Amino acid sequence: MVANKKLIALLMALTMLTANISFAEETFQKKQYKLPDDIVETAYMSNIVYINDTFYVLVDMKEIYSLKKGEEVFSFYAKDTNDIGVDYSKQISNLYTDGEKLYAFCSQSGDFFEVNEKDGEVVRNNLVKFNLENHTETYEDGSGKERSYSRVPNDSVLYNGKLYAIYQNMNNFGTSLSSFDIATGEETTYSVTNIKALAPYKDGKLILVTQDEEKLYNSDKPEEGIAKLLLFDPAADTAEEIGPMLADDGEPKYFYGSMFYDENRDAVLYFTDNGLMLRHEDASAEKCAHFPSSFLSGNSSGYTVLPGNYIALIIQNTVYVESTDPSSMPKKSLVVYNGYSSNHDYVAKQMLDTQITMYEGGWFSSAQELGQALVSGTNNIDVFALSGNYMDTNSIINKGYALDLSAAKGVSEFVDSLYPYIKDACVKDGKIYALPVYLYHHTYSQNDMLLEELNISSPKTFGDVCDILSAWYSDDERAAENNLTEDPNVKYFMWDMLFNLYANHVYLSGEEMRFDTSVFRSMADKLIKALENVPDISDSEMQYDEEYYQKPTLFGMQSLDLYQMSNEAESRRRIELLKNHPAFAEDESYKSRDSYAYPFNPMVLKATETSPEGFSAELTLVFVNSKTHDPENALKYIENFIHGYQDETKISLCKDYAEPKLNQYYEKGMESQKAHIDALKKEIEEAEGAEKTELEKDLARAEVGYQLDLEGLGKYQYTQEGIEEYKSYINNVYISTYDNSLFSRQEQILTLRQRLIEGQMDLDSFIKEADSKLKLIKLENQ
Amino acid sequence: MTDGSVDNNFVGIQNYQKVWENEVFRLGLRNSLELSLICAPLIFVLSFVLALMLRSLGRASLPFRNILLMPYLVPTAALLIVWMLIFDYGGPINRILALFGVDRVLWLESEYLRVPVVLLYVWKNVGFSIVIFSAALESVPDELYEFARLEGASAYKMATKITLPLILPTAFLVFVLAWVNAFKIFKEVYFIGGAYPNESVYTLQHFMNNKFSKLDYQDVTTAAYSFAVIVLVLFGVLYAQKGVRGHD
Repeated sequence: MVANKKLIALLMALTMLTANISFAEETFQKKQYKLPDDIVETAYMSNIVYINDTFYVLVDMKEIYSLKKGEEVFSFYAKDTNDIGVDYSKQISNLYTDGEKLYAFCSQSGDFFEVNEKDGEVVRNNLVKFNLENHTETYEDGSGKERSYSRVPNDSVLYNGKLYAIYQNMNNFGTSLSSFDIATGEETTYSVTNIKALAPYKDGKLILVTQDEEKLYNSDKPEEGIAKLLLFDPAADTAEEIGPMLADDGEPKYFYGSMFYDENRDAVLYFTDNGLMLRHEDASAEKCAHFPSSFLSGNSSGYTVLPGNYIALIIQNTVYVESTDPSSMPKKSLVVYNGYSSNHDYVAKQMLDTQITMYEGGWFSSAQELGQALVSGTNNIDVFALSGNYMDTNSIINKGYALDLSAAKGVSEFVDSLYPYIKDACVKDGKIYALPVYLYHHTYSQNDMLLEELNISSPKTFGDVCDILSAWYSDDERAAENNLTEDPNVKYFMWDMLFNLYANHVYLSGEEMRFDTSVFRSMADKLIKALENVPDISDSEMQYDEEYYQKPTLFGMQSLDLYQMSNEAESRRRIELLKNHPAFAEDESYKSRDSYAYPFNPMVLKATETSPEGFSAELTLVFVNSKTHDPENALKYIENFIHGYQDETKISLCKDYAEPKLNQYYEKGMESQKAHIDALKKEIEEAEGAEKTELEKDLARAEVGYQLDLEGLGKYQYTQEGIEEYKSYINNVYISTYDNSLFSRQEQILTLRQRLIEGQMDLDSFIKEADSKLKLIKLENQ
Repeated sequence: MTDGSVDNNFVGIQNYQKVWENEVFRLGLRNSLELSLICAPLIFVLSFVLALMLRSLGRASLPFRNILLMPYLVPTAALLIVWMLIFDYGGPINRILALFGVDRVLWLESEYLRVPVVLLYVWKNVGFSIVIFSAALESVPDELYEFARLEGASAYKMATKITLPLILPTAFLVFVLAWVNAFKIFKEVYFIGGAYPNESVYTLQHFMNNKFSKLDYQDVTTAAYSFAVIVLVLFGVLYAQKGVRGHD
C-alpha cells in the first residue's frame, strides 16, 4: 500500500514536471495564418498582439479578429461600433497587451481602454482619456471650419503601466518621448530626443535607439549622426549609452525600423528590409530570421514577440510565425536585382524554403556596368530585371549571360500566350531567355469632354495637333481658362511629340533611322510655324505657376488606362450631374476632378495621314544569370514568377486574357459612404444656424455621390467593354529598345534637339549633325 | 581570338577581320592619327620656342614657366567646363565673331569641334614639354651661342643648327610623349561630345569605349591590340634614326 502510494506520487510528480516543461516551452512552428476568405482580399490588418495562447489582430481600424492555439484561420472577435462615421477621432489605432489583458488606444481622441467583448461588439472598459494637448494642432478645412488633429505616434509600447510614445517634432528634425499613465492619463515628457525606436528592457527601463538626422545629412560631421543604443531610465529621466546601434564600416548609416530586447539572449534584435538581425555586443549583427518579400516594420504594432525565440508579424494581411533562431533560417538563397514587382512578392511567399533577398550593391546605370559585374563574378546576382529602354538587353542575351528558361514548368505555355511583339523580346533562336515583368505604353492622351466643350475635333495626326496649336492662342479667354498641354512648356511638349511620332513612323514603316526625310522636314516646318504664336514663358514662371495645374487640360502623355476606359461613361454622367445639380451650384470642385480636368482619354496619333498606326511600349524583362549559383532554384523562382502577375498586367501582356474585374472595395466604399451620410444626419439634428446650413449642403452632396455609386459608378475596376477598347489599341505596338529609341534617348541626339528647340541650330544643321551621329552608331554596330 | 560569349568559343582571326572591315573603326583610327599629327608637332614647336624664350630671360623666367605649367596641373574636367563656356553658342568666342559680323559657330556640335579640342590639348600639355626642353637647354654651353653670334648667326640658325642637334634625344622624347599622349585624346572629346561626337573627332577610344558599353569585349581588345602594334611600329621607325638615339 505504501509502495503504491509512493508510485502514484512519483507518477503525479513526473506528470506535473512534464506538463510544466511543455507549458514553459510553448512550442511554435513556422506557419502562416490568414483572415477569413470573404475579407482577406479587402481587409487591412495593422496590429497584432498575443495573449494567453491567442492572437488578436486589428482589421480596418475597427474590427478585431482572433486566432486561438490550434486554429488555422482568424475568426471574428468584436467590432468597434463607436461614432466613427464623420469624426474618426474615436477610431482605434493600436492594440496592446500587458501579457494578461487586451488594450486599445485611439490616437486622435486620446481614449485608452481595456478591450472586452459583448455580443460581438467592443466594450470599452476602464476608459482613460490621455491628455494630448501637447500633440494636437488646429487647421482650417476646405470649408473654412476649424478642426483639430492629434499627431499619431511614430511608435509606442505599453510597459510597466505606461504607454510610451515617440512623437515627431513638427518644426524641425527629431522626435521626443512621452509616456501616459494608463490609470490616470497623465503625460510625462522626457529629455531624451531623436528617438528612432524603443522597446521594453527590464526593471522598468527602456532600450532606445537615437539618431540625429540633422547631423547625419546636413552637417560636416556625419559621424556625429550615427545611430546609438541607449539604456533609458524613465523614473530618473536619464540615459546611458550602450554603444553604436550598427557596426561601423566607415560610413554612418541611417537606422530605420523597429527593434526589441530579447531577455533570454540578452540581445537587441532589429528589423531590416526582409529579415531580423541579432545585434552582438560589438554592434556587429547576424541575420536570425528571414521574411518573405520586403518587410519593413516601422513600429512595434506590426509584430509581436513570442516565447521560445519566435515572432509573429503581419505581412500583407497574413500573419507569419517565424523562428528567430539563426540555425532555422532557410538554407537556400537567391539574390535578385531590381526585382520590385507583384510577381516577386508572390514568389517570395511561395518559396519559403529560400532566402530571397534584394541585391544591395547599388544600381547599375548601364548594361556595361551590369555586364562587367556579371562577367567578373564579383556580384552574387541570380535573377535580374532590366528595362529594355535603358539597357541593351539584347547584348545580355547574345553574350550568353541569360540562362535558358525553356525548361521551367509552364514557361513555354505562358510565353506562347503573350502578344507576339512581347514574345519576340523574350525568345532567341527558339529558346526563352526572359519573361516580361510589366509594360508601359508610350501614348498621348486627350481630354474628350474638354474637346467637346471647346468644339475642337479630336486630332488624328501631328499636323492636326499643330493646327489646334496655331489657333489656340487666338482666343485669349479660352487660353486663359484652359491649358493646351499638361506641360506648361508647350514648345517642349510639342517638339517631344514630334520626335516620338516620327520615331513611331520610322520604326513601323521599316525605314532607315535618319532625319533627312520629307516626313520629318514637313513635320518640323509645320511645328515651327505653329509655335510662332506660342508665348515665351520663363522657367521661373512655369515652375511657380500653381494655378496652371488647377485648370482643365487638353493634351497630355498619360499611358493607356484600363480603369478610365472602363468607367468613362459613368464618369461623364457624374460630371454632367454635378454641373447641373442644385446641390453643387456653389461647388465647382468637379472642375478639378480627374475626368473633367485631366487628359485621360487615349490619343493615338500618326506622324502623317499615310503613316502606319501604332506606338512604342517600354518593357521590363526578368532574366536569370547564366552563372547563378543555384540554377535549379532560380528556375523554380521563374516557375512561380509566372503565377504572380496582377490581372491588369496580364491583360496588357497576354493576347487572349480579357477577364473583367469587380472593384473589391466597392461594397466597403458604399458602407463607408452610408455611415458618413448617417453621421451627417445625426450632426444636423444637433446643429443650428450657419453650421446647420453648411452641414445640409454637405449632406446633399454626399447623397448625390452615394446615389451615383449605387447606380454602378466604380463597381467595376475594369469592364469587358473597357478591356475590349484597351486591347483594340495594343495590337500595333513595338517594343522600345536601346537601339530603336535613339531619337528620344540617345544623349547626343538629345543635346542637338535642345539646340534646335532653343533656336541655336537651324533645321538643316540639326539634320546634318544628327544623321551623322545616327550613321556612326549604325556603322559601329555592324 | 574568342567570340566573347560565356562559352568563349575560339574563332581565330575573325575578330580582327570584323574590326578592320568596320568603317567606323577606320574612321576612329584615322582621326586619332590626324589629331596626334596635328597636336604633337604643335606642342613640339610651341614648347621649343617658348623654352628658348624663357632661357633668354634667365632667372626672370620662373614665374612665366609656372604660369605655362599651371594648365597641366589643373584637372581636365575643370578646364573642360571653362572651355565649354568659352566655346558655347552664346560664349565669348561667338560674341566676338558676331561683333565682326561673322555667324556664330556651333563649336561643340559641329565639325569645328576639332578646333577647341586641339587648342585645349595644346594649352594643357605645352607646359610639361617646356619643362623638359628647359632642362635640356641648360646642357647646351653658352660659348657656342657666343661664337655663333660673333659669326653673325641669326636666332633661327642658332636654334636649328646648334640647339636642336645638341638636344635631339630630348627633343625626340618630347615629340614621342606629345605624340603618344595625343593618341590618347579622348576624355576631352567625350566630356564635350559624349559617346558619339562629330565625325571629325570620333577617335579610336570612342570606338573601344562604345564597344565596351555594349559588352563587345572582343572588339575592344582587338582594336586595342591593333592600335598598340601601330604605335610600336611607328615608334620603332622613329627610334631607328641614328640621330635620335643620341651621339656616340
